[in-house]
Amino acid sequence: MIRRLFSSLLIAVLAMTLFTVPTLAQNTQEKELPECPIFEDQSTDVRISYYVGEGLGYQRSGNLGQATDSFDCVVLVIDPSYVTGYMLRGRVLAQQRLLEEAVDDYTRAIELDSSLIEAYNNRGVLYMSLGEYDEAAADFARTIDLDPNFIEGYNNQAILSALNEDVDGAITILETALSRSNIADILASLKNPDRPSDAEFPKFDSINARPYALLGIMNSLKALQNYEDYITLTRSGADSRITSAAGMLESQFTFELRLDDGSWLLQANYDPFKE
Amino acid sequence: MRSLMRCITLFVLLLWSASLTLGVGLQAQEPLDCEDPFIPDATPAYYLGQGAVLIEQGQVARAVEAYSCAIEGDPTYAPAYARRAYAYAIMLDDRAALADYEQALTLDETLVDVYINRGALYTTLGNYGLAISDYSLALALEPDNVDALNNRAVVHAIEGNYDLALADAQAAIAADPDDVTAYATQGAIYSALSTQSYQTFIERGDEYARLPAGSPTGVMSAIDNSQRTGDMGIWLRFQVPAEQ
Repeated sequence: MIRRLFSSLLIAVLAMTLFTVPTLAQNTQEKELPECPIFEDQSTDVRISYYVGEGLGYQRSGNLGQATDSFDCVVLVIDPSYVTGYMLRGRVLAQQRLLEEAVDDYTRAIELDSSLIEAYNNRGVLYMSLGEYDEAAADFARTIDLDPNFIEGYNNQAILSALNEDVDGAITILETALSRSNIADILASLKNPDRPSDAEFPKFDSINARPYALLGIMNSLKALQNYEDYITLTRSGADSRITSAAGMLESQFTFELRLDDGSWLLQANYDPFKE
Repeated sequence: MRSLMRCITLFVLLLWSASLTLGVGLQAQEPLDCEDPFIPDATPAYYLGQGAVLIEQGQVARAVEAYSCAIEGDPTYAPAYARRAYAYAIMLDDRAALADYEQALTLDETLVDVYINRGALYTTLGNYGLAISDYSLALALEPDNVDALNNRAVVHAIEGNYDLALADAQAAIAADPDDVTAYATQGAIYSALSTQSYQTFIERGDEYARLPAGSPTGVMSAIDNSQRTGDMGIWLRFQVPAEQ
């Protein structure tokens, strides 16, 4: 359970807005060293535990600046080689929209542990938000190199592919993702008409179901693309039903799939506290 | 198609933002789970960090949960009892607080902060002797502990032992001139002494005895005014001529 939570924590993907190109400047290393007096005379693991607990407490309550201070204590004062400290601080920095500093933290984590899939994944998402698609693609590819069953890597690769206007490529990636888990079998069992009504619902990682949602989006995009091609060709003579269908789809991408009723798609898997 | 891509970019980014915002808000009320620290090598101090945040935010009952998690992880971890005791004291659960203070000191009799906090609880409960005893134990371990000196001064003042109170308050100021608390305590002690002196003046004077400024409060106000303005008139009223 602990391992699963830890994994969930580390793959938390971060809030995004479009920012400038990351410089990888070591901004955080230029910070003034914070005062970290609690348990000052205790062992490193005790001090790390305290400040991690404190930082997560602040983060949970939305006090992101104070959470950063706590994690600063971990990586700037107590143990600069504590990989998890950079992962935790990187996540808080990203929540604060300090995307370049967050990239720096994930880079530092990767320097300390080059097999850390979650660090590549999170940094890839940050690169996506910064418009650095090549870097993002490299990071997502690395996650799958390290673990061919890392479904989140496929999901993010697919989104990136769509952003690069390759919807067919995205669909292929998502189908690969589905083939990498037993989610299709689980789905088939749930759809089986002979399934007893009182049968226990199967347990599985919900991240494995997300490719279906993303496939739905990709196919909707393809549908919209086809509708628009038809409208372009027929101009004012377009069938009003197709025009209406195209309008509805476009409206979905503009409204329904946004904050209010679209957050179901990504929320659980990007929230480390949700588990 | 490019506009479509902008659409999908927008909604994906907004969904990410939404997921984080919703997650933070929802989590605030979830119960603590002792078995699920976010780092695999966590010591019980992890829960003390969480508890500190909860205390700071006024979520004292949840802080007790956090400290209980630490105790569950290591029943011999004295700092967890110490902090849970403090939380119980805030919740006015005196019995639980005293039990945890006792347990903390049983496990580690050198915890100065526990003596100080238990002394404060004893003071609140009116057990001044026990409070003095705890502060003295704290000072035996750390002779220059400003909090212990200040708090013992308060208890001495409550008991009317103003000389002892002043000695402790002044010792606290000497130990750390930048700590402002003891200055306030010293001021309060002087106020008590002034009231005591005025009371003696009134008791020993005849029925016409009156303070130069009419009342203790009036005198204090006039003195305050003289220090700010340089008008020392109030002091002149205390002068008396030699008997001829």
